[in-house]
Amino acid sequence: MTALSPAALSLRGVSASYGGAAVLRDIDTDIPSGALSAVVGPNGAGKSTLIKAALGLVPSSRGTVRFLGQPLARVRHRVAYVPQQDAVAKDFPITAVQVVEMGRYPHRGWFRRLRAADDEAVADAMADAGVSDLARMPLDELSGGQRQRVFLARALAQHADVLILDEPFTAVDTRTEAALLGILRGLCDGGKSVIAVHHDLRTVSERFDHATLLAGTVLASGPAREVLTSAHLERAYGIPLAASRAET
Amino acid sequence: MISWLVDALPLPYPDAVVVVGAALLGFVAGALGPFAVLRQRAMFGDAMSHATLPGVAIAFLLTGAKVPEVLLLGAALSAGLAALAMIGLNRSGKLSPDASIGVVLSISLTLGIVLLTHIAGSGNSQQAGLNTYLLGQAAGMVERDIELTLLLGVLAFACVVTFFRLLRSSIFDPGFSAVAGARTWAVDAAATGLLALAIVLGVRTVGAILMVALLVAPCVAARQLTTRLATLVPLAGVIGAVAGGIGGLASGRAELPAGPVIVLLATAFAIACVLFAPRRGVLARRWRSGPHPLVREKARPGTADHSRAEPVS
Repeated sequence: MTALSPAALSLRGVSASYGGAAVLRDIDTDIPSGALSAVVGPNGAGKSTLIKAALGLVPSSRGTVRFLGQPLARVRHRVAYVPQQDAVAKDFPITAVQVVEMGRYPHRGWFRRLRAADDEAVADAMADAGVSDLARMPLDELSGGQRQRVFLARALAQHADVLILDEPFTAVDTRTEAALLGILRGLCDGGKSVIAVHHDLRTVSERFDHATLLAGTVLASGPAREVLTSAHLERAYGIPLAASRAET
Repeated sequence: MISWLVDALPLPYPDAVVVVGAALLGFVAGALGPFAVLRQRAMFGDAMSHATLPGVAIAFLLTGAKVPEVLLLGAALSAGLAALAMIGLNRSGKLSPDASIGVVLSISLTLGIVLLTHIAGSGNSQQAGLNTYLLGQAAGMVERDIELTLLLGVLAFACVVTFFRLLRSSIFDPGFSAVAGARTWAVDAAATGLLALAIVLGVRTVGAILMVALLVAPCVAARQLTTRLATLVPLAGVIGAVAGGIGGLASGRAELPAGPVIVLLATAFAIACVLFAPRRGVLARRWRSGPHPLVREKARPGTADHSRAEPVS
């Protein structure tokens, strides 16, 4: 996190709306590179909308977005996205290894065959995420935690520099959450940037480096412990909330 | 090639044409069905299918003749208009997706029936048989129909094979695929186009009312037998082909409309697969899971001291 390296994600004047109702207004914020960063806030604060707008998935959004100082179109292969589980087709006929192979498409394109190097990246990613033995399993026969590991393996196989995860720990038991957090922490130690939408404020203040507190607009952003103060949280959630007990 | 195939079948010529034609059409519909079902667009397809009726009727009224290609063009145009109407109603934020489907489906059917009734009463000698577009008819198929189905079917299949990775990724995980550079609107347009093509090809044989079943049932059946999309697509095609070929022939012999017979066959196949599929079928799952977990827990020796004292009956 040197002052010279560009932010993992930089937003300038970003607004977004759904069905005419503004969800985000004039977001100006930077999320540092090389850090484990969280986007937090109450339900309806626009956490998911923020990252979707940054990734160009909200048609109505406006403003300027830079990943590592570049527009997304130039760095697609360096940005890995793990959407919310709800956003992925249920009961789709696909195996775990086929999901992880998708992580190579940003490099190989939609038409070229995967090469030996891609197969290697896929195998390594599955080993790192602890799902090697599930490779041939149909995705719809996996538990919530196993599924989330498979999707993390896809992001790892992409060898991206910025990982963006939307609620990665829902439907995941505490042991898996700890394991996944460990993997993400390892990535950040290796210089990658991780941005996760998360609602468990205790985990964020204990395990994350950076936090962006959102309620339609950015209320606070900076080192996680400095952001998740009682005063900030009371403004965001509208009720008195002690940082250490703040779980929703 | 088609005449060779038709001659090779141990059937009278008209029957052989029906079997080959209906099987080919069943294959196309079955293989393209997953791209509607997995996108949760089956009912969208149903409304498009109903919307072919006014198109067929208007094409006939404009040209005054029953040229299949012209009628199918009319069907395609009105199915496309229906798709745009549903997307428009939905986008405008006025109606939810299911309501916009409901509106377009019922208006299309109403308009189709009014126009077909008007044509039937008009005394035009050419009009006989136009109402088979409602429930379908396999008899009377000619080699030219097969050639058209083959041509468009091969085009559609080539499209699916070429863009397979893109289609699979975008349907499975649209967010990831868009970030990876897929153009979501183009994939949607292509998948809707394939759906329209399958519907238009099948509507005369299977009928506007039932066509969607030939898209859905083979997919449901094949889904029970495989866990990979690359297997699901051809397998659903084969199931559709079997239902189409046998149903087309049987309906002609029994003097029943072709659509219901083909659809009943495909549905029977789907139900059989849901029940009896080796790995994913209801019975296989029931068999694997054994007794209720609580019963199993108690029955296992040594898990709790009282388990032997109070045997589970």
